[in-house]
Amino acid sequence: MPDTQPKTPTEPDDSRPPIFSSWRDMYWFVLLFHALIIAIFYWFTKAYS
Amino acid sequence: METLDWTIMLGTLLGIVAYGVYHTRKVNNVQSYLLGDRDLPWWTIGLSVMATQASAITFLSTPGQAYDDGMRFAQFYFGLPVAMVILCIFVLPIYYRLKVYTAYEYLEGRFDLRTRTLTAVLFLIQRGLAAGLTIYAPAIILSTILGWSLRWTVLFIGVLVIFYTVAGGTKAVSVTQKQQMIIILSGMFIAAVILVLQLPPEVGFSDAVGIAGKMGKLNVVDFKFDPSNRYNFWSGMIGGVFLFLSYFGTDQSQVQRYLSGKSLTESRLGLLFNGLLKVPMQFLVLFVGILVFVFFQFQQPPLHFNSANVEKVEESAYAEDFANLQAQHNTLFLNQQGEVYSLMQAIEQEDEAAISQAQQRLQEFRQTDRELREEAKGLILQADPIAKVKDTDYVFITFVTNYLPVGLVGLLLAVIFSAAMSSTSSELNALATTTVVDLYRRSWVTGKSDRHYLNASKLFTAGWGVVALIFASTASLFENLIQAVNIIGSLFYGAILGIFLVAFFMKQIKGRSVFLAALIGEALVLIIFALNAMEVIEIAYLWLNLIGCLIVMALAYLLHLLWPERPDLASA
Repeated sequence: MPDTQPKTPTEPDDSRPPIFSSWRDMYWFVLLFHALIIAIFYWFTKAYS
Repeated sequence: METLDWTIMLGTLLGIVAYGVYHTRKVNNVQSYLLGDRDLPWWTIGLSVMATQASAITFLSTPGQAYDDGMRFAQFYFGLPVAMVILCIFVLPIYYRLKVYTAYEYLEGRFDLRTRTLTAVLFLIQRGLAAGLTIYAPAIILSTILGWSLRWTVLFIGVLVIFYTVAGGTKAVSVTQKQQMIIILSGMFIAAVILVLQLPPEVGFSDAVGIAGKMGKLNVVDFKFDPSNRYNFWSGMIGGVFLFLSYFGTDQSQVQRYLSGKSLTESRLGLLFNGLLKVPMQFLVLFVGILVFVFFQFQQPPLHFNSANVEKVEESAYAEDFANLQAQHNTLFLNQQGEVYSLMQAIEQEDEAAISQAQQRLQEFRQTDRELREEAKGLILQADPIAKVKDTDYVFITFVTNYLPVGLVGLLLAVIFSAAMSSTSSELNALATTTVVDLYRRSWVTGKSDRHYLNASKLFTAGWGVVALIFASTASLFENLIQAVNIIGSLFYGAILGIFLVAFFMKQIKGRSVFLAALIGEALVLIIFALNAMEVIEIAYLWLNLIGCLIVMALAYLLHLLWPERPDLASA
């Protein structure tokens, strides 16, 4: 079991994501994918209402 | 239920439990037990995070909600992907840098021990009571529909969960959740396919979607800003981000899932995986409900979906009145079915005028249907004044048990039990971890061996499991207690979130200010709640989350300005 006192901060292993060159690109991918999903849902709502 | 259904259900559930126990048989230290050796890959973390959030009620209630109210509930989750990105940028690196076991451990380094302890205790009160409800809520529905004993249903879920969670700790929770989530997603997908196959031969998938759309059920996105509308794009994106930041960033049952990742990279990928899949998954679950709705346009639905309530009224003095309503409902269904065929034909011919006429008549039929259902509920309440007459939670399980082929009934019941077990196991695991790490080892019994804390962790897991079981077994005796549990969550969640938001984003504020702000804020929330209970003011208890959070943040800032702490007294 580790110490009972707060631990000394250590820099975590922060390697690049597997499919993009940076985490920023990865986050943009998630957000743009989400925007695309909402756009498809919106089209779905309009097309069938 | 047929023998094949029992075999598939029990085989699936026991197989997953056996796999979890076997896979974690070498867990022999606290690091392994509470953090799973920090060796989980991103897909396991992602599925585990999703399984923790998706309780059995998700799969029982959500299709019923779509059946009744359409698909607009999907918007509730619109803020989730944004929250995942924010957590990956700001929160995960902090937890990883400090190598914490719990979210509350971070607060000691950021503020002080008393703030950590206070937040951990608030979490234990809230989550400890909720764990029983996670078992009870699906058990009451399953036992009613399947005719099982409530106590045995509760025991079946509870004992299995306690067994593998005690045996293997965090890793057992994560590896079983991976299997459970695969079963859940496959089962819901198969249910959707079977629903389409069970429609009349002349009704295809596109016809089904067209009918649902023209009957106002495919209302997935609504951009109109309306604060009184619970589910629209804006409430999902603004309120949802706030809600999911607090749930995924500060609730140990979620934090523990991604802290067991192999690296910061794997944990980030796991959360982003959740961000990518969660909204489409909710869409699938809601769409199953829409298909059930279309199915019941061609198949006579019951007047009331809770069969136990129907039995009660049929054995009462109101049986004849109920039979009359039933006869009217049957006639209405036949008329409505004819109109649905007219609508289908009009859609095929792209005849807008005929579509509009059919929509108008269907709307009138559905209004009559709603009135008949309300009358039926009135009769049920006259027969049994304490009956619960909201029956949308029973829609999907009624379809599963009455219309799915043999074998698939067992699979879909395995889906619902898996969902109950996955969320409960995370809760028990998080409760035990917080109890041991933030209270027992930190303040109560310090300096003992690793073996001692491992055994304590197992004992606390079993102990919280027993608390959940007792609560779930007796909850039916205390209906108001369930409401109380929901209220208790809202009483404490705001203060917890406020403490964390100060920790993450108001770097200049130190321990004394936030601790006093949390105490005063919590007291003010309790006073507001009491005033509401005495009807001095009127406020929905869900708003207490936001009020508690804002009070803590504002007070912490004020105290920091008025009574600054000396740097040597402040924590790093």
